[in-house]
Amino acid sequence: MAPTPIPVFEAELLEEGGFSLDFSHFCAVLQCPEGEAVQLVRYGVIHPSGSGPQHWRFRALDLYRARLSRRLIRDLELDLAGAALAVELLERLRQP
Amino acid sequence: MEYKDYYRILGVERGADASAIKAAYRKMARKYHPDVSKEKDAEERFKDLQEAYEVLKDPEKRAAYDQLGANWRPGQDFRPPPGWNPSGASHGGPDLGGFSDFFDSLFGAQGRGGFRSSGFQAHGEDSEAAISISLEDAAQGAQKNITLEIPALGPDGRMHRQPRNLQVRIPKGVTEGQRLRIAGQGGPGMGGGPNGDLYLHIRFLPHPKFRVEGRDLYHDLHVTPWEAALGASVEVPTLEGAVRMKIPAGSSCGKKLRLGGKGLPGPGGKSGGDLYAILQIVVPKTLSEKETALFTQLAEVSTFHPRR
Repeated sequence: MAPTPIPVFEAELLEEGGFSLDFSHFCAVLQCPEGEAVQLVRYGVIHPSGSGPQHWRFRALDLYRARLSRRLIRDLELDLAGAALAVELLERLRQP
Repeated sequence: MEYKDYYRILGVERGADASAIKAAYRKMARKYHPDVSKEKDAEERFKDLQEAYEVLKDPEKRAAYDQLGANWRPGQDFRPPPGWNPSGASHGGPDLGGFSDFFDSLFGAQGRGGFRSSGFQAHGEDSEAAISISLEDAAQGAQKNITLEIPALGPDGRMHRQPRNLQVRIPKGVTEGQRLRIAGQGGPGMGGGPNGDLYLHIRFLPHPKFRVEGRDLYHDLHVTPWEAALGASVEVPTLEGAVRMKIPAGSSCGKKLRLGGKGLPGPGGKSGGDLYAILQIVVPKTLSEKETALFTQLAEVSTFHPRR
């Protein structure tokens, strides 16, 4: 019997964008209420391009940072300001 | 199954009050959170912490747990007492499937299998791993076979880590410290929710000829004393094969010569870094008679005094 072929996946570079989502699509992918996503932008956790929710465009790095901050808030009982600081510091530590 | 000492896991006394339990959890969670910790067993430790906190922060669950008594030892073989059904022994809401058999035996596991019918949905956890690639792979792009331990939902409705083989196409122009996202290849979603994503952190394998700084490459170029003094055209390796480079006459050791555009490419193969050849003047360890004579003659006629 022929061995099962190993699936091939495309990898996209997180730092270079990868995709561009509008606000409602971003919230759907993140599975978070729109109000919470607005707060993530206000506190500087994520940085969409464009001005105002109607024109915001989110990229892969925003999704990564948003999920990271939500895990930190949930697991470490941080508030949003604390999570924003932690995400920023973790990203700086990650730099080679 | 093994007994778990939740008090010991959180590092608190059995009589600790709610605020002491909360403080202990927050302190330990900071240390072992998988997004923060560099400890090898961080994920397992953090799961234990979450489970212990889930029980001890809830007065009903804590009271039920305390009914077991204080004479158990961590890891001791455990079966719930006959007729075990204390108040508080019901699962509070949907669970993401990370807790132990011990927890399930005390507090029920209906949350694990039951959420599918309750309409509960959750996004799968993101997974992260490191992948080491060569500079050539980074410059040209590559397809790599990787084996990862990825969370998967078992037939019992619980999360298990299981090895998984993936072929990943790495785009050209990646560099050290960047991350690759592979959509939908992280932990499985719950109740029909989408899978998490897999993030691969790029590391470079050591290269025998080049050091890397950002997208620039550095190569120690060995030259003879006469090539450095008289100038020469020499071969220099690049990631695309050797090229010839002109060494100016009168070059000293450490001189930095640039080959523009021969470093690592930018994203998508766009222009990126440069290659720097650093001259290293190498002297033969042994000299033939003729070489000795010529060097002696040079020493006698030269007026060059580098230490004056």
